[in-house]
Amino acid sequence: MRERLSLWLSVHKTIRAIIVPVLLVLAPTSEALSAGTDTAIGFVKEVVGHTTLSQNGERRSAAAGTKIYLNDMVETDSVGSVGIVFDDGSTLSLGNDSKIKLDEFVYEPADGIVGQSFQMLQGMMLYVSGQITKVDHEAVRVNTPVATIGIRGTRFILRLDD
Amino acid sequence: MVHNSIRASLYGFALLAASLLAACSAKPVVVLLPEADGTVGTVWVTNDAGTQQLDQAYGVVEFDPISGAPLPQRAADSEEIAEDFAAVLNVEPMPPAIFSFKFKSDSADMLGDMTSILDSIVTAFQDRTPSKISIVGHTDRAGARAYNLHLSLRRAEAVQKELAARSVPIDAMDVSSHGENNPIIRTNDGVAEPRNRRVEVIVK
Repeated sequence: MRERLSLWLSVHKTIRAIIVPVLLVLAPTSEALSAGTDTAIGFVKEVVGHTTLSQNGERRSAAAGTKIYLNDMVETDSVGSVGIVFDDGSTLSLGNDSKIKLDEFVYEPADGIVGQSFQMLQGMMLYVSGQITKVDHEAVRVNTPVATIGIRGTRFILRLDD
Repeated sequence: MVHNSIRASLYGFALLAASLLAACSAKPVVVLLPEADGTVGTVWVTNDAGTQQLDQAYGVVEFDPISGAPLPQRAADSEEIAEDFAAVLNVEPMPPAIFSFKFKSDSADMLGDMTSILDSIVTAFQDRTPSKISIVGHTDRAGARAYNLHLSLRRAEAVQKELAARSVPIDAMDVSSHGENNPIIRTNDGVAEPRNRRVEVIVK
């Protein structure tokens, strides 16, 4: 019974692995993405100044409530800052002139499959971990030009060179 | 008197110069902060030149200017940190609020009067606007696995219904079901464990 269920789950995942990229190819605009099955990984809580979200050349302006997607590049301007909440309850804040790419977000706690990683390119960030680090202590990391940050359930700030 | 005021202004100038200098030469840094509940976690800072563990509240890791290696953590002043990093701290989202409901065995009926918890969830939701609520149902390991997956969904939907009745918009709520996969207390299969019969609500 259990084996049959896990077989079904893996078939289900395989089907989804095929369908999702096809959908992405067929409907590459952000409007289409947000209109379909909700693939958002989080949302914007608060924006000061101006913050841009971009992906595949599409640029969106961030406001409170704007959905965040995997692979989004988040950029603040010289007076901008932004607060974001992810599906697992982890939070990310960016200071002025900051730039970060949301490289990985997997949150399927029922199956024990989780992961979250960022590529911090510029500026200042504050991260507070959520449920993902509770499921897997080593599932979160931030890659930067100066070092890789591995996170075990915590709250920290990272600032790169000005 | 005059002497004192010159000294005061010189001192002020020196402070200004020092802070300008600091602002111009902001170097890469990692700072560990206590979480809202006071917990202090751990981060590792690693590159080709070395690795350092950061595990003290307001501990700071900087980098060697020549080798680029992360330096051992040093203690920093919490007020200085609050000032230097105000830009990110000012837009830090409120920590998510977490609630839990208990259930009768093999049932989607909540145990006891949950009115005050439901009201607290609505308040937490309003405090965090824009906000979203995750509702996650769980069971113990009595009964078949597939049956439990459905039972925990019914439990989560029972909570969703109560919140909808309190005017929480349906599209602000995300319902999911973990069945017996994520117990609080680990047991063998077939064991009834009241603490695992629950719905967890996270207000983000």
